[in-house]
Order: sequence, then structure tokens, then C-alpha cells
Amino acid sequence: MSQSIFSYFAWGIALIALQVLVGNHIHIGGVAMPMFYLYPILILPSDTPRWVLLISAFLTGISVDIFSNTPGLTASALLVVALLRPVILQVFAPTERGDDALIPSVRTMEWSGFVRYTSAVCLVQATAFYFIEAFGFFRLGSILLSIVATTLLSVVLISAIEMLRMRKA
Amino acid sequence: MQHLLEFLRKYHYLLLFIALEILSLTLLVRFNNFQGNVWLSGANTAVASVNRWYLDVWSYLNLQSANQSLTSYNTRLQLENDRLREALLTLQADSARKASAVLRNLVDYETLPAKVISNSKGGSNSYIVIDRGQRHGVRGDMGVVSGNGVVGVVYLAGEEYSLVIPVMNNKSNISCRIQGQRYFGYLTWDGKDSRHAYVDDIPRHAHVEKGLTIETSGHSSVFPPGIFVGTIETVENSADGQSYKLGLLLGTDFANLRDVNVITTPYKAAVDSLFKKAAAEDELHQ
Repeated sequence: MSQSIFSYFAWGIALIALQVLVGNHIHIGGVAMPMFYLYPILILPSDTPRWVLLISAFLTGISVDIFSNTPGLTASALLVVALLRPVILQVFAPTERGDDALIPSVRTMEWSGFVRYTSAVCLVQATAFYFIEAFGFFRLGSILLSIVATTLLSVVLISAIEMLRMRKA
Repeated sequence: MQHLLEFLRKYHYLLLFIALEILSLTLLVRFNNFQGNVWLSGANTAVASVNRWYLDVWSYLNLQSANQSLTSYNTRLQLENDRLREALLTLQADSARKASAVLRNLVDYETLPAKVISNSKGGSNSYIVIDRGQRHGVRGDMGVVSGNGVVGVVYLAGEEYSLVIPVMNNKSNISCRIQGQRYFGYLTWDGKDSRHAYVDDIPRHAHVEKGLTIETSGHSSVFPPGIFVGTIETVENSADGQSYKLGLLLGTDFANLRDVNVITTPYKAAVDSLFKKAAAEDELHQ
């Protein structure tokens, strides 16, 4: 268990680093920005207490924010994700499984399930992120474009990371 | 309490979410210019509209006391208005000043108060009838004045009543002068307006201007000198161009004449007797 906590912690640090060193500098067309930092939140087991989810989401978000010079922005969006993640996971979890906690991954959910789950979480995160960034409902067109583009890019990149982790494991 | 604890146990993550979200958003608006500005202006708008709503309600609630104070203010103004109006009415007896001035000039003379009984207006030969006659000592050619100035000269004195030729009669011919100056002329009337008369034969070198006072000269031996007649309203050249013709606003309002005084001092008689004596002595010497 301590092994897995350490593992999640390591993944968190690594992906925050990836986010602030690489992700934050990628703005494809000025609309699409990869959200690597979602990955540690994505792969937490389904029996993770909600408060742990919220706290880790907050810490992750604040860490990213500090390096992106946007205090509170990522954190507030990521909190929404952490709140909704149990529900989303419930929806996309495979129906035929035991009582064991589900650890979301390609191995447990198949590619289709994992990609759909990741897409949903990314969509929630991107929506929350861009609306909180805009702090209102003006320039709706560019916000929606940013949401779609960011979601697509993030899903692709997170799938790539998932593929890497699977191959390594 | 039990329910509350249960609720907290069940939904503690929701409270945690709200707390962390508030913290995040606080950080967001605190440390990010754009969101901070949007927040501030939005908050200002909200605060302003709440304030305005509060103010509207407050002023509406205060309408009654505002109304009361307006009503009392109105009443106060109304009372003040009444008082001032009354004061103005009494002030119109500005004639009191003139009356006292007229009477002061008559202080050495005996006067007989009389009431105007009839005042035949219209036409150029109007007469005034007063309720004093020979029985009271009224004789012909006595002067009649009112508080506002010269009225006229007694023409005929009956037993109980007397007939007065007012200034506004073509027969009237009272000697007048400009107050403070020696130049004199004769008061005439053109038969048009009971408030306006003329003084003829004022020399052209007299210092004449509007507003100066015209008073009796004392030369006619009917009136003592210095009794108010009127004030100069217009200055014209006389028909022959040799002198001024002054338009006067008469002090006496003949349309509204009630109380007059007859100057009963045997002034006229004394002067007349002196004239007669002088004439007799002239005849003697010749």
C-alpha cells in the first residue's frame, strides 16, 4: 500500500513537472493546451476517500498554478473534477467486475472504456478551466473551441502516457 | 444534532470541496489581474445595485416624515405669507407719512375736519360737497386738504354744507412751487384723469426733474405754503415754449376721498384785509 502511495506521489511529481516544463509551453493554435496533471487524479483507485481526492486535486492544481503564475485557476477546475470523478468512474466502469476497488487503467477498463473515461474527465476539466479563466460567459465561441481542442489533445497525450506505463509495467 | 452529524459524515467531502473551491477562487481573484478586475467590477455592480435598492426602500419609508415636514414647512410659509401680506396692507398707508407731513405744515392753522358727502365726477367741472357749512365756520375761498395733499378750495358755503372746487376743475387755479425752489406756477387740470394734473409757467431755468415734490407756494393766500400737491411725472414744454409744463401725479386720490380738513384760519381774510387797506391807502395818496 505504501508502495502504491509512493508510486502515486511519484507520478504526481513527475506529471506536474511535465506539465510546467513542457505542457504549459504548448499552445497549439492558441487554443489547445495539454493537461498532463490530470493523470494522477485519473488513476487513483475507486475506493479512494473523496476527501483524499479533493486534497490531492487541490495540491496538484496549486502546484501547477504556482508554476504557471495562475494561482487558483487550475486548482479550482481540478476540484470540480475531483468532486465529479467518482460519478464519472461509476458511469464508465466495466459492469462485470468483483467487489474489488477499480484502479482505472487500460488493463482494467480496456482501451475503449479508459479513453471514454479519460475523455469525460478531460472535458469536465477543460470546461471548468476555461470558464473559470474567462470568469464569465463572453467570447463563448473561443471558449468552446478551446475546450474541445484541449480535451482532444489531453486525451491523446494521456493515452500515450498510459501506453508508456502499461508497457513499462 | 444527530442528523447534522450524520449529514456532515455523509457529505463532508462536499463541505471540503466548497472550502477548497472558495480558497482557490479567492486566490484566483486575489492574484490574477483579469479575474480580479472582473470580480471587482462585478462585485461593485452587485453592491451598487443592492445599495440602491436599500436606498430606494429607505427613502420610500421616509416619505411619510418627509411629507410631514413639508406640510409643516408649507404651513409656516403660509402663515408668514399672511403676516407679510397684512404688513404690506398697513404699509400702503405710506400716505401716513405724507399725511403727517401735511398736518405738520398746518400745525399753526386751525383746521376743521369734514366728510365728503358727494363727489361729482366726470366732466371738467366737478364739485365736492362736504358736511360742514357756515354754521361750523366754513367760508368761501377756504382751502381744503386731505391727508394726502391739497384737495381744493371752498366755493360756496351753505348753512350745513359747502361746495368745494377740487383741483380737478377747470376753475381751480392754485399757486404751486417746486419744493426747495422759489419758482412757482399754477396748478391746472386737463379734465382727463383724476390722478394727474399740470403745473404751468415754471420758468425754463428752474431745476426740474422727475420725482421732485410740488407743494403750495402760499402766494394764493388760500393755502399756507408747503402743503403737498403731488410729484413731477413728466416734464414738457408749455404751448408757447417759454416755460415748462410739468405733469403731476396728485397726492390726493379724488376717486377715493373720504376725510378732508378745511383750513379755517382767518389767514385769507387777514391777507385780504391787508390788501384792501393797502389799496385804500393807495387811493388816499393818489
